[in-house]
Amino acid sequence: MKQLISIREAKKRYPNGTDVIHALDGVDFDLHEGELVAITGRSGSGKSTLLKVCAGIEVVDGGTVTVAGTQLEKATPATLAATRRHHIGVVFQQLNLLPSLTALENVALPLELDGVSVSEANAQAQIALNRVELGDRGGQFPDQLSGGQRQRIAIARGIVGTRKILLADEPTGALDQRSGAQILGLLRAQADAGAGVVMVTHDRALAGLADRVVELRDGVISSVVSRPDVETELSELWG
Amino acid sequence: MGIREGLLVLLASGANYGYQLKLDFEQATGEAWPLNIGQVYTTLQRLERDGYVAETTTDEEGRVAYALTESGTREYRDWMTTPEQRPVPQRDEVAMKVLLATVSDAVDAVEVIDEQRRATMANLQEYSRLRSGIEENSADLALLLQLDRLILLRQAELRWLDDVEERLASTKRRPKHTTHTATTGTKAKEST
Repeated sequence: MKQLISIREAKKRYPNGTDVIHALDGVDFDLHEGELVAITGRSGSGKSTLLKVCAGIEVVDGGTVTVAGTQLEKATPATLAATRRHHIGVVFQQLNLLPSLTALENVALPLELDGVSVSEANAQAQIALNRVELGDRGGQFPDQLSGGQRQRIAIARGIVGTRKILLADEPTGALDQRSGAQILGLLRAQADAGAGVVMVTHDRALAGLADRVVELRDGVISSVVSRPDVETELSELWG
Repeated sequence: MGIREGLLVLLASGANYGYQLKLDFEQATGEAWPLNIGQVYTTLQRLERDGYVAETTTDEEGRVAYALTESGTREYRDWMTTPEQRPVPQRDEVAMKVLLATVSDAVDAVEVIDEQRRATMANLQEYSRLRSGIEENSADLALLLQLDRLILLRQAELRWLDDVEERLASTKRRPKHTTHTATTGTKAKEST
């Protein structure tokens, strides 16, 4: 499987009065096509910082971050912006859909900003909406949709066009259990279709649904649990 | 529940042959309970003796179909509508180990919780992989429901382990790891 993200020895510090917080203190992280990876840990463990580093929103103070073949800390602002637009979709807990645009226009927006023609952007947006099973809701405005549907629109925007990296920060945090399960199922489906998906969650029970669970503690990876290679036989399941 | 109750419930949908009942039973229990055909026939004979089922037709291959009698219908309805009682409290191995770890001065409870969490997490990952493989196949509804149940149980265990850790942290009762094992090990080494 093709590697999408490679992070080595990442360090990120924030000043805190006279003190310094080591949000990331030497973190290695990889993401491949077809993988759903969960990052978990307590608040302040560095998990959101790691996601922002993957997204190119934060630049590391030390170490290397390579996303879709581009080494981000060495990239010019223009290259960084292009890498983000072409390869990375981001879904936040607090949605940032534009209320004055329809669902389809919201999903098409990143492509239009990238210079794609309106008709082509709309066609791509329709494909992305179909993938989140909201192909018939493109004409509706965000306030006409439920919380779960808005989150699915945000995922569609994250995967529109050729983007292969989907980064989600607490994507089920604001949703009821059923909508949350649906969103998780969708993230799983994007990974199964070949995308690399990273999900930050404080909820280890949800994290356990991912292929790999990376736990951060005080800016350091404290454990990585990968799904066992050998598939369990049904007869073993029931003890 | 015994095989007996399972067969009565399956026969409530209509008369059926022993071998088909075996297959239906296994599918209905999400393949959690494989039967051998001998168990099925023995149970059917007992149910017939007790008046809950009766032989109906025999096909050209000599297979006998069984159907519920009136008292069999009453029996399965009584069973279905009576809620099951669980023994309380249940002695769960994981819970017992963690609880012991929290009171022992000789072990680091957080380490025990971490190890268990990794194992439970891997377990949950495996169940969710199996589940995502059968989601589209409605014929496997019973298996899907079984997996959902196992996933929820493992998620509950992870949340409980988190709660235990939180509580230990907030009450500052994380016991110090002592060196009993190391001391014993050193002595053993010296004596050889």
